[in-house]
Amino acid sequence: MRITFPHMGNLAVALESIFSSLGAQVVAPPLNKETIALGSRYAPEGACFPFKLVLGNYLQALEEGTDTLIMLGGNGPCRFGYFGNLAGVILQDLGYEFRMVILEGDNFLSQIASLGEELGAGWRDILRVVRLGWYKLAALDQWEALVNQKRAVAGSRVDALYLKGVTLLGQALNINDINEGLNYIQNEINNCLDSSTLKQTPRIAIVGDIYMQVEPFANHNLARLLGERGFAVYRSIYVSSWVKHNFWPPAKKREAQRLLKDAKPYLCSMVGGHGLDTVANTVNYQRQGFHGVIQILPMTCMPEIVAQSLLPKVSRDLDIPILSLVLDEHSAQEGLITRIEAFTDVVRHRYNMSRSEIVGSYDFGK
Amino acid sequence: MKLRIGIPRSLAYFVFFPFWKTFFRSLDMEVVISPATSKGVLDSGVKEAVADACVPIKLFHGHVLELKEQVDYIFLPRLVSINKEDTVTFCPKFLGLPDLIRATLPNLPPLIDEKVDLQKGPWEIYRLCVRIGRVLGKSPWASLLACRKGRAAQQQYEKIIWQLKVTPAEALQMVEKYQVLPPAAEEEYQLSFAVLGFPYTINDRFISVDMVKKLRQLGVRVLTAEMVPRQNLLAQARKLPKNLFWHFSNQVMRAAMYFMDEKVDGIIHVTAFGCGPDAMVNKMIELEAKARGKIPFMNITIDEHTGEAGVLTRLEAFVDMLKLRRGMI
Ligand code: SF4
Repeated sequence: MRITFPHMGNLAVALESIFSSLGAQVVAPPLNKETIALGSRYAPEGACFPFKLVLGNYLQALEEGTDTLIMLGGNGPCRFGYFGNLAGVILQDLGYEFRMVILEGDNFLSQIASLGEELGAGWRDILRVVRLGWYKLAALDQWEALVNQKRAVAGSRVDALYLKGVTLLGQALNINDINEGLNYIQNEINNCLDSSTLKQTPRIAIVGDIYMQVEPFANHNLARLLGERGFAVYRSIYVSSWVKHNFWPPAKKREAQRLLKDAKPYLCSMVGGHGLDTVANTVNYQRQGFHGVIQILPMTCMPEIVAQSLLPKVSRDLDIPILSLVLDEHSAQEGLITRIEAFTDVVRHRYNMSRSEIVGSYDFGK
Repeated sequence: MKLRIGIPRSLAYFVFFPFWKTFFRSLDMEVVISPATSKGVLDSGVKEAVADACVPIKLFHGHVLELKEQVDYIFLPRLVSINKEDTVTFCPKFLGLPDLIRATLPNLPPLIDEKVDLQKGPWEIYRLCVRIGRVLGKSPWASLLACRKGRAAQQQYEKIIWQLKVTPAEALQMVEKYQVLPPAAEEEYQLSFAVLGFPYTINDRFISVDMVKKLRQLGVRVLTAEMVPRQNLLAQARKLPKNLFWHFSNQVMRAAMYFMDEKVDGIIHVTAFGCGPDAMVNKMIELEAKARGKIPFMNITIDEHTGEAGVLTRLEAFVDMLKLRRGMI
């Protein structure tokens, strides 16, 4: 069995670990210019950027002789839940032969199990490798979050450490190895700075569509661009937090209630995808004293367009700068940087003003 | 004076207007509909809505603005589900519509934005009506009676459509004028086309550049998704691997398969520029038509600037091609 799955941030590492330990051959082509070219050639023009990347990736993998395509499902009303089905008919029409396995929330384990069975792995093995994959994913996401927060003060050293961590994880055979790696890298990253400097960095949060957030190739490495310009970056979603909130019913319910509460009165309903999350998290970040919020969304993304229409009001009411970045396959990095810098100038200016006010009042008292 | 309830002549208007008109009238309210779409309505909507929204949503903003000064309430329910089907809801923009309108258009009269979620069970429609009645200060009993009358009117409307094979726009005219107009005679038409798309694009004469009329003038019988009896559409649903999440897109997809079975002469899919679901559905219909062999298929995308001349040329070319193929000319 030669297997592939769409590239989506750190998810690829976890899935690769799961399937290769089950004994499948994993074909995981990288995301690059060719992916974009292939994807946009065969996808409908109005499909969103993530779909084009997924389709492009499948085409690359099929050329390398893949026979099994894995995709996640979903219950909409975001188009993501139909990606697998649409990609399937498009690829069939192009004459490829393959099997498409769509992992829906409720049949996730049984699907993996039947794949495992084909590969001659038993339930035990499957549970073991899924657990291992999950730990790897969680570790990577933790590092990424840390790196995003500290890059502004510690510079590119943290990126090097992150890469080192990825290599460590590649070699990890059990959960102990992962935990050791986790501690080691976390300590190293924390050693790169003293925490007092961190407090003086303005903070920007990234919200928006999940794919655009977690895949640096799709967002032109937004977190790094911001870090290099001196901002501590927080992201509202990581693949592991999404998995937790989606596959674990109690967590799912709790999260849904939290979102509805925070998004009120701006948005009073789930709208699919992460539209509600975007509004709720923006409000939440403002409460936590963040200095700016960037929403990132692919063109024609319906849930995020709903959020995008509401954010100007949130920004006005709560007095926080918000930038909506709409990206697609034609977006160039230069244009993106210009827009980001215009925004970060505002954020930095406001940040400096607010600090001088505080410092001023203290001095005055003494 | 009677309270005035404003209903925008757009989006779900084409689906449920007879119900709500009757409902509000029975509660002794005056129902005000925004005028038919015109360039002015569209332009004012385009100006206010976010640039990345689809055309129908932009247009909807325009219709709400038309009502702004004229009514006491704007009826803008949040559509979540209107039948029992699992995992089927509406496009995210419908789900967030009341919030979206409130955030972009300030100083509106109060919105009646109750949630329509009929998946909850057969009684939900009554509960919904009671909730709305309460907002307007009516007793539950009055609301229930009004609801019953509304349902009867709605059934009548749907029956007119699939018995007489008229478009919703035409049926609505009959409802408004309280008279049934006979459809055109069969022999006038040489070809039958399925014209599929959202009720709010196909039935809006301005935004669809009056495509239905043009096709008829070219000798084409126009069939739409609403003309297919419900159970036939549901039967098609079983052939699809997974329901689409969007009610209107499901109707389109299923109707496309139904009409392919019925061997219509051609299929025209009318898509809206900037519409998320359409991008996917269009590809699926196209591939389905291709897989089944020679079913002529054409896609027409409608946007703010769709020119009448351009659409007419394309329609003519499509019709001529088919007539040639059939040896009719
Ligand atoms: S279904 Fe399409 S056209 Fe209708 S509101 Fe949603 S995105 Fe717009």
